[in-house]
Amino acid sequence: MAGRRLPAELGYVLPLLGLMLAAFVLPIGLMLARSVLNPGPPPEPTLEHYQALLETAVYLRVLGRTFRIALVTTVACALLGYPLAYWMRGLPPQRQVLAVALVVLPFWISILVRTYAWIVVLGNAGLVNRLLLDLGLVAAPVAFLYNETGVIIGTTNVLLPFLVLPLFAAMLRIDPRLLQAAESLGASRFTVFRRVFFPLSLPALAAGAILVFILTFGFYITPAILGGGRVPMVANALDLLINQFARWEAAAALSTILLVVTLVCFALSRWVGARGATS
Amino acid sequence: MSSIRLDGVARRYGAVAALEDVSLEVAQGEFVTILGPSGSGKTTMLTVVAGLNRPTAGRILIGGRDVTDLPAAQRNIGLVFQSYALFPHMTVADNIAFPLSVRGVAAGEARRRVAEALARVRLEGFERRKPSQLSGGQQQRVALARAIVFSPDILLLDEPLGALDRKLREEVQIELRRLQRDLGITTVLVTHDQEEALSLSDRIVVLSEGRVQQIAAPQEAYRRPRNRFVADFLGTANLFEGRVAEDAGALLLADGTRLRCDTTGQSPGRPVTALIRPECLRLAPPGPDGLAARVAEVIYLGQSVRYHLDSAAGPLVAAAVDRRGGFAAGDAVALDWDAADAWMIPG
Repeated sequence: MAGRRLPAELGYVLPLLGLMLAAFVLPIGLMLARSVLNPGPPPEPTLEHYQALLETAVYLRVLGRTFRIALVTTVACALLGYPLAYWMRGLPPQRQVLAVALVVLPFWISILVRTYAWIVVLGNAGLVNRLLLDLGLVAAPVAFLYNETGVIIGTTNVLLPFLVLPLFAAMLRIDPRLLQAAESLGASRFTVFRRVFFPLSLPALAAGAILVFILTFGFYITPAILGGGRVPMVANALDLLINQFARWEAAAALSTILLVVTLVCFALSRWVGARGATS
Repeated sequence: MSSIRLDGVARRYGAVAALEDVSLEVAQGEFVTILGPSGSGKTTMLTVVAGLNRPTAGRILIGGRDVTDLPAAQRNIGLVFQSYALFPHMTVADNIAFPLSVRGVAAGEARRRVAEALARVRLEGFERRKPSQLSGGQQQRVALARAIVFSPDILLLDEPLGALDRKLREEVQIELRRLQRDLGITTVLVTHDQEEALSLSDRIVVLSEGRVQQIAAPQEAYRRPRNRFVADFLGTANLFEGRVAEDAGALLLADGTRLRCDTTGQSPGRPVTALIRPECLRLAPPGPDGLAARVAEVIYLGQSVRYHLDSAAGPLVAAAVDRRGGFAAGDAVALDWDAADAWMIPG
């Protein structure tokens, strides 16, 4: 019976399915194909594009940098986001709503505006450097911008909510009676946190961290502006390959590597999430 | 093993009083139940004793020591939550070992005591399970094992049987009572289930709106309630309002009906409320003696029968052991009782 009804139900899904196929699956398929085909005619399968990528130091450096930035951003988001989420959990409900609104607020401001704002804040004549100089803490302006530090500050700023919101939600779901029980059984506040609260929040922290890690891979504007062209990440390299050099095959191969890494991370996050759900 | 004493304990939230002037003494080894409807403050009372909630007035003494300002972690109290509050990320063994490990008990000794506690609640072999792999009854027993494994001074139970089905609940009640006797541990149980309170405890504390209504042995509270709330809350109450008759030995209702009563110590003419429990009312065919009534409804309960009756004194309930030759709806009957079974409620 379900089988007979299926075609009718399929009708509702068809428009979206068509759109997904035409706008998403097909381009990705073409990209994958391009990365393993010689531009004929006739097209022949080859791995030379990957070989060329892996033999060119500059691409390996870009890939390595992208990983490094993603990793540091993830750690920074975790170190900043965990205490923030923990603090929010302890607030009275009305203040929690306010805190969530403040965390979400940056989503409403264009990423371009936010990124340029960092130049005003972190530039050589920016707010932070002037303060440091006036206080006599440094003799010369600190170079926050146009290096990896600047890019990481930018990515961390953009991605922090992606870690804080799910983590905060998961912390709210931790039954306060578990903490009371631990306390009544003789555990100090710190032991309650270390042995009960933190382990229970860990799956959400891990899932959030992997999300941040994956999202950092795709950053284009932040490294372009805050890196000043000196800190190209994978997306910037793709831009160069396509728009400057028209090397579509190399771009396809690089994109494929990025896609595979992202899928592996995604699988990892699903695995962590599933483990969190069963415990 | 310790006694507990509450001295004028109160807990207010702003203008709302969850507990008001509660004083109670629980002797060493005693099993006391706090009984009340939801919102009566009984769980607040338990959390105040446990140290999870600070009283706004009064003192709490455990074993003669003032613990009012002592944090929960230092009170050495075994607490079983209604939701069991087992740590979901730990195995059964780790859950039970938790209070031992935070006290720095060596691993070998802890293993031995965990095994002993599991044996006490008859869950040997469950060490490596996760709480999510246990049934409600098993989780309840793990929570109990965790609460007794570190030999606490007192044991506090918050509706520990509430989530269990009826048959399992009766089993666990018996086990709980046996365990409490074996350990000789001072125990305070909170429940809204009066049957549980009556069957388990040495004494019950009836609580309503944050105030103690009566502290008495179960039978005493049931048969000789101190006020109307206790009379109504425990079991079914047939209440008669009237005045003590001039010629003693009877209660005079507003319509002139005389009810046989033990009026010793009551001054004539004083307005009183009398309580007769359903099982104290005897039904007989209509005759010159007794209170005339008509059977409105007969409810069959297996081992007993409940009669809902209409009488001059208002609707009444009688309970009788089921036998052949009972009454049917519509029958006229005469009600009779022993004068000693009609209790004058003092409050």
